[in-house]
This record gives sequence, C-alpha cells and structure tokens, in this order.
Amino acid sequence: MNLFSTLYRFRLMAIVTLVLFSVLHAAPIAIMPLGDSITFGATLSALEDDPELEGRTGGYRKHLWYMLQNAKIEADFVGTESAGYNIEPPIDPDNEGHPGWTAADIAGWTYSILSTNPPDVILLHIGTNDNSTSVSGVNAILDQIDRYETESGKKIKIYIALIIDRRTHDPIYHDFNKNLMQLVGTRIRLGDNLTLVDMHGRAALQPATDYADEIHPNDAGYYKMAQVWFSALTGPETPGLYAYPYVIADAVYVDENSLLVDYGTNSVQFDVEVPDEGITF
Amino acid sequence: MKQTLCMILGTLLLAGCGGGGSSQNSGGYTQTTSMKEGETYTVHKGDQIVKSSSEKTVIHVTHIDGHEESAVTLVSGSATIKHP
Repeated sequence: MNLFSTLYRFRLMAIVTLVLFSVLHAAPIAIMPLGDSITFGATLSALEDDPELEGRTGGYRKHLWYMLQNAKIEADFVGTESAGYNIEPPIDPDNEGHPGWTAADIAGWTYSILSTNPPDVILLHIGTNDNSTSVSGVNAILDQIDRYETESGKKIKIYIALIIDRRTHDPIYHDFNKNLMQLVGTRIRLGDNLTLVDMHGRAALQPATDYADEIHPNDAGYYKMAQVWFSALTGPETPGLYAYPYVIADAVYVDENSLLVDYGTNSVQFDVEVPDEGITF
Repeated sequence: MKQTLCMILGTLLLAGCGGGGSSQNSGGYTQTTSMKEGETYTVHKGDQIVKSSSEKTVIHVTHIDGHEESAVTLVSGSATIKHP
C-alpha cells in the first residue's frame, strides 16, 4: 500500500469516525474555537466595537463551518462570544475568541468558559498578543482544561496551533512556536490528549495577499486557516509532526537543528540522544 | 466445534508471533535486537530503545504522521531495541 492510499485511508476513517460520532452521539460535536481576535475573526484591530461589522465577522470559523457542513459533519460551535450572526449562508456564530487577550488572560477564564459551554473539541490559537517567547500562559490554559476534565469527568480533544506570524516576520513568534512544540510534546508524553496543528507552516499565509493588517488575516488568509483546522479535525489523531520528537524524548535530548518536517511525505525526521532511561515509542 | 478451532488457531498464531530472534524475557520485553551503526530498523508503538553502554548514543528517527511505526538509524554509540 503506498503512502497516498494509506493517508487517504486514515483521512476516510477519521471522517467516518466524526460522522459516526455525531450520529451516535445524537448531538452535534461541540467545537469551541478558543483564542484572541484571530479566533474572533477580526480583520481590523477595532472591529470588535462595531456590532454591525461583528455580525459579518466570521474569520476562519465561517469557512470551517461551511467545510464541516459540506462534509456532513454535524457541528455546534460553542462559546460565550458571538460574531458572524449576519453572514449568509448562516453559520454558528458562537466562539471564545477574545480580542486583545493573552494566553494568561484566557487561562484565567478557561475553567469558567468550559463549565458554561462544555466542548467535545477545542481549537486553540493563542499567543499573538503575548509578545513573548514564553508559553507559560498556554501551559496554564492546558492545566485549567485538565482541572475541568478531572472535576467534570468529561474528556476534551484539544487541537492547539503553532500560531501564524505577523505580516512582517516577527522572530518572537518563531521562538514561541518552538517552545510550544516542546510543551505540547511533553504534555502528550504525560497523558494529555493534544494534537499540535502547524497553522503557521500549513496555512503559509502570504504577507502580500493574506493579511488585512499587520496581525489579522483577511478572508483569503482565514480560508487557509480553516483548511488547516478542517484537515486536522478530519485527519488521524496524532501528536502532530512538530510535537512528535518531544513525545518520545525530553527536549534536552532532541537535536532541534536536525528537525525536518516534510509535508510532501507527511513525515518528520530528527536526531535524538538516547537518555539513560531509554526511549519508548 | 468452530469456536474450539478458532481458539486453537488463535493460540497458535499468538505463539508464532512470539518466536524468533534473540529472545529474552525481562521487564515485560520478550525480544531484543542489537542495533548496528548506520543500519535502519523499524520500531513499533511500545518498543523501547536503550543504550547498550554508558557512551553517548544518538539515533536518527523518521516518522510518518498517523503511523504506529518509525524508522530508526543508529548514528553513534550502541543501543538495543526491546520489543514487548
């Protein structure tokens, strides 16, 4: 069986699983888009203050909604925010996109947010407003999700994105994403149900055509983001290529300079030192 | 009758899977493979790679997303693959 047919088989199985989940569950899959203004769908920094414009603000959520509908996957976007309620054809406008919020801001409200609208799946794109290479805020969000899962007994699948860059390349985002790979890989190794989604690399937003301003994508950029989320949601449940090295070994043993991801073969390769305790695959 | 036959066949199949190689039975691992520098091996989910000596050991890993197995090459040092 060649690589293409194997990947196709995985994709087909994942779509069938999602469809079966929604049918057998008798309720749609509750998907929580969680993050900042990029999740909200802003195309201008001040957009959130205009209710009329907010009604037409869908961002990636609009395109993802249509993709899920076309794939016959019954979804329910959940969240306390609402944006895109005037879009035609209609979408589910509910979300947890909070313009201007940092990861630490989100962490402070995560437990409350989950208690109000318990999701089956979270799509997390956060860190743009942090202006820092630290992922401690993201770690705090994941701690709060763990706490909610433990106390409620509900299991949540989390897709967490390597965040998109600014229109003008900002090296802070590169280092933030590098730290995020290590964080996600480590947490998967310790038992979290996460998939690292390479939104930055796979969406590959182009500065000249895919941005509305310095931070926010335009509709074409958001469409690319939706494609990446959809692909992750309907693909095999994996750690994600950039998280995989850190799933099998602690970051100190992984030679990050050797790390190479190839989307043509959908593979990752890297050198890793074998620690005294060994490496378990 | 059919159930008995299935049980016998199943037992034989399981017994067959455990055979071959330089078998050991320690720490839940039933089989080990000594890696040679520059050679590539397939490891499956649950397999473990351990150092065979105290020297620094580096492996090169290639993994395809969604697959349960990975290809592993011994770059330097010495290592053993333990199979469950």
